[in-house]
Amino acid sequence: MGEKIANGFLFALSTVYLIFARQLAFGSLSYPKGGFIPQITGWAAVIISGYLFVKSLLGKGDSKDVKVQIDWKRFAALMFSIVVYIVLLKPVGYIVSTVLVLFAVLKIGGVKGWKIPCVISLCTSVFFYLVFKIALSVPLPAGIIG
Amino acid sequence: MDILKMLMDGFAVCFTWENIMACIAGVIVGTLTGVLPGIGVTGAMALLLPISFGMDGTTALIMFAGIYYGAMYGGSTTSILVNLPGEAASVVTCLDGNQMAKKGRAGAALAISAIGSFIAGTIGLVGLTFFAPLLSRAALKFGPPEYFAIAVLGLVLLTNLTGKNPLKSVLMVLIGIMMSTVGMNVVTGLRRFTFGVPELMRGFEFGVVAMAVFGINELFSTLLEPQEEIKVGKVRFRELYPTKEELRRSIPPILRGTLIGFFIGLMPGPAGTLSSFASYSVEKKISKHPEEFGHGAVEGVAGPEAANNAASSATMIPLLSLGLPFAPPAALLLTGFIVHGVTPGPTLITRHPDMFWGLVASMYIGNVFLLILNLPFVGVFASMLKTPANILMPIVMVITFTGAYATNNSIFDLVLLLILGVFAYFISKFGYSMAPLAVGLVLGSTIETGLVQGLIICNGNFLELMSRPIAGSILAFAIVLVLITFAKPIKRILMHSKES
Repeated sequence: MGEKIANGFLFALSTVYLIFARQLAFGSLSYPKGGFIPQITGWAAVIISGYLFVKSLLGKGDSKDVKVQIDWKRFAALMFSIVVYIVLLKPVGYIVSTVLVLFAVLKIGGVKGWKIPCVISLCTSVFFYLVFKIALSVPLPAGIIG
Repeated sequence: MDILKMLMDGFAVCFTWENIMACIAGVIVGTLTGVLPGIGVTGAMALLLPISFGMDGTTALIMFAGIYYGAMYGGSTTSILVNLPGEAASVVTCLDGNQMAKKGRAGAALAISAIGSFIAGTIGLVGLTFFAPLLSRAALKFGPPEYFAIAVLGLVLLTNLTGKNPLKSVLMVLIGIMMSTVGMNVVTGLRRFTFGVPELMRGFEFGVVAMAVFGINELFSTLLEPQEEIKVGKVRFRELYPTKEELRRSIPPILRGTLIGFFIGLMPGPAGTLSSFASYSVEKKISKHPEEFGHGAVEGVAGPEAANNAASSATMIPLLSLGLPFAPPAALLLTGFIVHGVTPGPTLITRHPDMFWGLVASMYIGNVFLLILNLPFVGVFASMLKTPANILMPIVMVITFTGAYATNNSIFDLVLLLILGVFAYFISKFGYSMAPLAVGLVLGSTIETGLVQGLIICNGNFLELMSRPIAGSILAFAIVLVLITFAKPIKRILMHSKES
């Protein structure tokens, strides 16, 4: 099932790309325009991904026996934490949002207790803030503590 | 003599406090990358790209190159001690290296591996020193059609050598090229696939894509899938001496591995992995005792480890002399050059001799550092394996997100990082390799510019483009390779349809 979804997704992606590529001018062989390479690439991708998709639908895919062992609860928690991090980074600031996400990901990863995740997340966030902001002069969002 | 003088000037560039520190930092990070199974060399280089923004260009590149060849040294440590390859290039070292460790010869296997890597790395560098300037000089005559032809051949070879299914690799290359068309077109100035999003105007940033498809992908694998507990034994310094017999048996495989690795390194694809497997099979074939292979044959450690290090030196040749990266780590080095305002290619040696020769000289110095790091300090690196992955990977995640944000100070890059990371994680489960995508993304613009300008030069006559001696012969070779690759499956389909 997984391979069918993967191949189907790539087929859909290639088709959408080709639809937009066809809106660009192709030009001619002696004077190719901006849509020349996108259309050629798009067609090739649609043909290959289509072939692979049909093959997997017929049960002839080369990864049909692959079983993906994913802890879906952890996956959902990880995605939620990262999305919240991206949303909070600018308004709340680098240190606070990084402490929160790192603590959450450490707990999602199965680190036991509260002390170790707290210390690691706080120390790591402050350390990287200092490295990027002070040593490398990379501007990081200051947020509420700015 | 001219080359030797230039190399000496390179050493003068390299022997500054900052450059030596960058070289040491690079080889240490590289060795750690090789030792720790969760972090790949491309991911590590991508993570450190934003850190290099504030550095001098030569210093940054010295550090990046150190990470690349350092990883080849470190990968063998875990293969030998815990039967767990830190890098794909060290998979084959597990076969005999770990068997030697089980027989109490772990120290000897580690020493042979480090010595072999040092000899091969250094010989490979001599090849780089003399061959890259020659190729650069020849490449000055290349025009857009020749670059197009070389890039196409590179991608064809890459798809043949990566993954089990060449069609899946071709599709990944195409997706990489598709990604390279997003943003402002360099030839026509046209905005493509930007959908009104200003951040898409600059296209996909290679560093961010590499962090996603190599870094985030690894993070998800480690945190979401069951991991085996790693037990590491102690290695004492006094145990690191191979016997005279072991040394005698190792020298010829090291030299053969060096040659194999160097030539495979010139070709696109996972040169480190391919060269180590090729060397192993050669050693097994010519050995008087093939039955010993898989049971602790020292040749099975010496040859492959030499091969993957020679390959890492040779991979630099097409990058530095043509500006074409044929492997993801080389593509990141290219990004490192571009970030610092330098475009590698035939004019690199003449326009930026300090940078080119400084980088080459730093690799000689780095090899010596690596020998020191990987002999007396091998136990220290091995003990790093005890760091729990569920603590290490979240910290790596923070560096990844901070690095991606720092690239353009943009939240959009973080969104892109997450989307591409999830995409890479799921797709790679089904036989899709990320290396062709990364190389396709980097070479996409070379292919487009080369083909479009080539067709304009030849007035749209593709046969005229093929009649140019260099471009034509390279393209003809690429076409033959494609035919060979796909002739067999097509023949099989035809036979099958005939039978049914």
